[in-house]
Amino acid sequence: MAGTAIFAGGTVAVSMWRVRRLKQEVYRFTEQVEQGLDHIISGEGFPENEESGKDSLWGRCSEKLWRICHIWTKREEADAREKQLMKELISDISHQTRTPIANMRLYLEFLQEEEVSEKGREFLSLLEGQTRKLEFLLGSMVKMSRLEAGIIHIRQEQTGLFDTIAGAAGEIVPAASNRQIALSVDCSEDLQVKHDRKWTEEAVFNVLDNAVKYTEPGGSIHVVVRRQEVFTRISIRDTGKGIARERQAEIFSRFYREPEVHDGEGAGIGLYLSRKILELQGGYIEVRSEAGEGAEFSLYLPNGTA
Amino acid sequence: MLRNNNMQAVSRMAVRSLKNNRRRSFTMITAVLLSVFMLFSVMTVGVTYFKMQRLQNIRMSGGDFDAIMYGAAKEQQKTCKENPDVCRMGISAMSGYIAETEFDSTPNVVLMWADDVWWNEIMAPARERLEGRYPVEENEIMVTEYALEKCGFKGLKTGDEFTAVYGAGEKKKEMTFRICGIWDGYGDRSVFFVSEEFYRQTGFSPADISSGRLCVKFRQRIIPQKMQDEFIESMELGKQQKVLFTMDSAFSVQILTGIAGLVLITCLCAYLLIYNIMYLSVAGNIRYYGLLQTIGMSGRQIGHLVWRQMLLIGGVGTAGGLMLGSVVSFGVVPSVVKALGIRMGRGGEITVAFHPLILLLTVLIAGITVYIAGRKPVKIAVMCSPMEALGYRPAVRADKRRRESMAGRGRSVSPAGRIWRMAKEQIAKDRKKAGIVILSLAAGMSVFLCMATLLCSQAAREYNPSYRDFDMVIKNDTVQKEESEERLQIFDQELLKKLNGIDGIAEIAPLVYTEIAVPWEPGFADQWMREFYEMWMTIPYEDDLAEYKESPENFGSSLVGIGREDFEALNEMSPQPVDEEDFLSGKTCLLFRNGLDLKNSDVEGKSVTCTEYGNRENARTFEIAGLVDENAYTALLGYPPTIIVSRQAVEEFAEEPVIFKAGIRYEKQRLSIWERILQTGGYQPSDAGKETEDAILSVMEDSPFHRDYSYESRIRMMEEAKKAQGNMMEAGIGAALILALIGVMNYINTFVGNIQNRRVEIAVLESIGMTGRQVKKMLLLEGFLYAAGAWGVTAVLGTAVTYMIYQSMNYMDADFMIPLLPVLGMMALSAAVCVSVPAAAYRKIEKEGIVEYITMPC
Amino acid sequence: MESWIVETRGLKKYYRLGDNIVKALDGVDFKVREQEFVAVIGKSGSGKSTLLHMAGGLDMPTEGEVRVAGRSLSGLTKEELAVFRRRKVGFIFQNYNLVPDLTVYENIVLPIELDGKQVDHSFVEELLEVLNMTEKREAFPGNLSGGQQQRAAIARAIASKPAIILADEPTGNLDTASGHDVLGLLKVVAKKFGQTIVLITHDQDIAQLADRIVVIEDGKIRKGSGLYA
Repeated sequence: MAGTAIFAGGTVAVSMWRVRRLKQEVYRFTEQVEQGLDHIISGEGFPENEESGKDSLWGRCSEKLWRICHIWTKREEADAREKQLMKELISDISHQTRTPIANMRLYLEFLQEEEVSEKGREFLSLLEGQTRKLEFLLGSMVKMSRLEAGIIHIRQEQTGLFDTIAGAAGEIVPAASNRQIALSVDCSEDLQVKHDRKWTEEAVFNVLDNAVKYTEPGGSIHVVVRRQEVFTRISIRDTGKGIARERQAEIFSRFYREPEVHDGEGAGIGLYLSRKILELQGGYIEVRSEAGEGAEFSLYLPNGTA
Repeated sequence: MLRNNNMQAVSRMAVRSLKNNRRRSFTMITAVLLSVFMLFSVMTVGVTYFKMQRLQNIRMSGGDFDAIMYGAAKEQQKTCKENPDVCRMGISAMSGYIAETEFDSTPNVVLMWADDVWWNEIMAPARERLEGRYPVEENEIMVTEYALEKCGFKGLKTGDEFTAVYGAGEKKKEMTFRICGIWDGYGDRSVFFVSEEFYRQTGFSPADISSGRLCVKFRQRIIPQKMQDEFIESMELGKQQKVLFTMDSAFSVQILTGIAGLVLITCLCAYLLIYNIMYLSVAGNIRYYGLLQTIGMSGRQIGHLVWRQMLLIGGVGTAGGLMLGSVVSFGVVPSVVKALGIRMGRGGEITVAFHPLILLLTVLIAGITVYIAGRKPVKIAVMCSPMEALGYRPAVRADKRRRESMAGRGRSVSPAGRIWRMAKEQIAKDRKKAGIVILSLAAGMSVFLCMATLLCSQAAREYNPSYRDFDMVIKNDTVQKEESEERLQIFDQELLKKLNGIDGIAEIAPLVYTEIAVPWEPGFADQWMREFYEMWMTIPYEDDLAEYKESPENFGSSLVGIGREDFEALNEMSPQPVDEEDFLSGKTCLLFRNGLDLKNSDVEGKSVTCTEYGNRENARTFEIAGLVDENAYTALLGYPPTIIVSRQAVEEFAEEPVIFKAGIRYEKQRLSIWERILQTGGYQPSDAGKETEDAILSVMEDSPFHRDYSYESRIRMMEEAKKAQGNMMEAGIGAALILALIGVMNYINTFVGNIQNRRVEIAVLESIGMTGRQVKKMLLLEGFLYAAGAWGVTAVLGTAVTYMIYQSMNYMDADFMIPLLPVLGMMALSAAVCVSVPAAAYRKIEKEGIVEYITMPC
Repeated sequence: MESWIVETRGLKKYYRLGDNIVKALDGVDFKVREQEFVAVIGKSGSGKSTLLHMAGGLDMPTEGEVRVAGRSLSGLTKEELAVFRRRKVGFIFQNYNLVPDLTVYENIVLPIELDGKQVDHSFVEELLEVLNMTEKREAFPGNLSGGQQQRAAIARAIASKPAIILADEPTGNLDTASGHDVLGLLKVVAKKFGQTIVLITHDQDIAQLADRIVVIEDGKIRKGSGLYA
């Protein structure tokens, strides 16, 4: 009786212990697989550990994982090479087109000093405009492709936003005064935001440039900078013709241009660049507008952990 | 499929949830703790009681057996052995006695023979010390030091020899015994055990009633009455044979039942409370569980979350309860067990029995209780759908029936009536929960009622020292002496004077007696003596008749003189009152019946004559007026009747009758039961009369006869009763309090939860014009209905149980009496609690405002 | 053939309310592309929340099918749905619905831990950094402002790297400024970590932040079902 009981108890205990051990083995196995996959996903590469070479289930799986990782790495390397080629191509285009355009402009200048007929002068001036536009377009496209390809690095520093805004405003002042547009800036001088000075200035300038472009002479542009809970908001409000709601989501896409304004300067690239710049800094851009009632572009930069 | 091992985070959440809901956790842990404490204590009391009872039994009867049979024939032994219920059976037999030794003429030591089973199994637990072995040779003997000493052989050791004359039946014989062993322990120690050989040659047989003893140990611990009866029947007892059971199994069964009942009630209360809190907590947090489901907690994990909490609560509560139980048990259990009637003799401290099984059982019962209580709430938490929890699904489960009843019947009713009805409907709505709460409140109240009733019945018991409601009765102990010369008048004039001088004594009523002889005459004297011999003597009347006729002085008796008040008291008790004048004038007398089979009509009108002891000349004849049974008025019981006459008559008859007893009544008004309970907790004697009693005792101590008196007094009896009860009542009230506490916690939780659930309803009521006062009134009424319900249950169930317990414990003949004052107090208290909870809850609602409840999401 | 992260086909959901049948959804074909930020806009009672619940497997459709990340939700048990939500969906609710007993950090990693997975602490730290919640990581939800709580909820929704994030009026309980901030963050974070967002709102301004706006009315999609129409 007692012997049977002890035996039964012993058997139960042994089998319970075995089940427990087996379970732990399974948990460990799962954990190893998961860790390996995590490493691959994060791009750190698949680490070989001492058990990988053993004749175990994990060893079997780790071999496969290692191969997946290897293939992946190879592909990534090919991608990187391609990217590098693109980079070089862009840089080549930029280099190779710069000289001919510069030459073209030089020759244009020479030509303008020559005696040319009325008609000829007119064409010359048109040619000059198109050349300038081509130069701007190429420049913008190079910037854009560099931004998109991650060639350019955004360097965010904790620094006063006032100077950045002032820089952008200073650049736009001539154009604004040309069009008799009043520009006012409301920004506290000691506002510190972590941002890339140069590129942010570019983004703000693009928006301002846009505003000047779409505002009739005699209008006004207000720049207001306010710090919110998470973001610092740079709001640029103009008294221009506004944007229809349906198009508001699209104005930030590449080469978008208002249907009515296909002439004149601009390549439909400025707002796209601005959005890109802000996104790269962990911010975003939005527009609020009703057709005919002006537009308000808001640029949001994260306050940063200060 | 291998399950995902993802419970770690859930377990952590469970701990966190408990920590953050401190009040809820605390309440539940308290509930478990108190219940475990109760379970543990109650079961410890039970086990200790049974263990001690067994020990006491073993020690008292000198062996571990359940029944003893006097005389056992061969067939009976066989029947007994074959009985499947019998575990073991041992036989011992009286084989004579030590009649005489050279040092002692009356050693009074018995010779016994015991068989193997008796000596090795039955008697072993009662022995504390044993050296040597059981006798084998005829002259070998197993002794105790005590018996040796009685024979005058102090200091003999194993191997020593002594010579003694032993008697066996008719013959006496001298023999030299050799001591082959010495033992000591419990039971009869003036015994020498002899060998089987010795026993055989004495001629005794186990079948002899006077010799054979058959001891039976049953398999079962508790032997129910039915089994006892069956056993007795199966033995086919001879006319003089008898089977005695050592244990009062009926009482054991009652105690078992009581323990089981308490365990059950405790579990029920704990179950109710845990269920209630968990249910409310889960139902109130249904959104929380829904939310957990939206972020991907599976039902299994939610179940784990709730169970984990239960496990933690149960674990902490159980551990705490066990610790508290162990600590308290050491203090309380011994006295409770003592109060249940266990007395350990010499060396007999009651040791608390800690049985691992109790621990296991407590944990098991607590675990099961928690498990059962948790099942439903867990199910709710697991089954809740995330949508429902987010409050999106439109509620279509409106209670149509109730709405109709409210709208339809409410028309012609006064506002007060409607509030009353709404309160009633509220309780009727969730009958189960209301029932649970009422039951759990009633449980505490019932136990309180039971304890209060027992206490009160005990307290109400009149502690009357022997007769006539005296506060104190002092007895002259010399009256009991064998030699006539030693019977002294200890209450001499001087002493009486001193006693009379004590302040606070209202009355001293001495009883006097003188020794008499009742000479034979063919009438009454012969009738009485014949009856007397038939009833009390083993030899026939005829054997002594000649001697009685010759010298009636050899058959002494007493003539007792009593006062007028004594007579009146006697007359009051008697079914046939006796003419007072005739008695006081000394014409008639009363006789003490002495248990004889005589009726008043057998003796009435007859006359009895007595003569002064040693002086046949001084004779007096009384007419017999009747028989009395009150033995307080007897001094020296002889074969002839005790004649009770007026004191005056005794004084006329004898020169100086001896005062054998004096009843004393104090001046101080005795306290009523209620004053007693209020002043002293009931069972403690009051101080009233204490001073007077001390004064009397000091006078008695100063008298030259201070060795020769004894006394009984109300105060002393009450003190003894208190001692006997020990802390039983405190423990009982403690149990009642714990249960009441659980009940009240239960009630508070239910009611607060209930109000919380009904906030919207209440807000709606208020928004359609019910005033705050009316709402409050409704809630108070509801509370009151709970209280009333609990009273009802207590009145029916509680009283029934109390009566049963009272009946089973009523070996002290106390009157059943429901204590009015405590019960009223209990009712008032419960009503106060039941009403104040809703009041407080409402105040909270009022403070928070009602609008929020209407707008509150879900 | 484009692959959709969320796709509903002929989705219908009818409720019985008393004697009436409420058509919360009445034949909805709704598609979301990976890494897209879609706002579903509609009045209260238009069925937009129901659509969200269907997509998250909280509720079962009367008719039609929901596919999320290539998997059909019909025929899944309650337990399977819970696991589905845990792995594929991150919810953000109007009233935050953080677990009050857990700290911000514990709340964020809870869905991961519920799956028994290893928590990628550096990722969570990064997330907290972006959401500006690093300092509040040990705080309990009860001690946080609404905006902070919602930011914690966003972190929780994103931490397990789900296939989609479903946000149901996430700014409904916030004032305009912090509501705007929270949504901006959601947008920024989703962009940064490549998440797909379906946002339910009745607020045009809020919806403007999305890449695409879908208008739902009386249980039907009125416009915007196509991509970038």
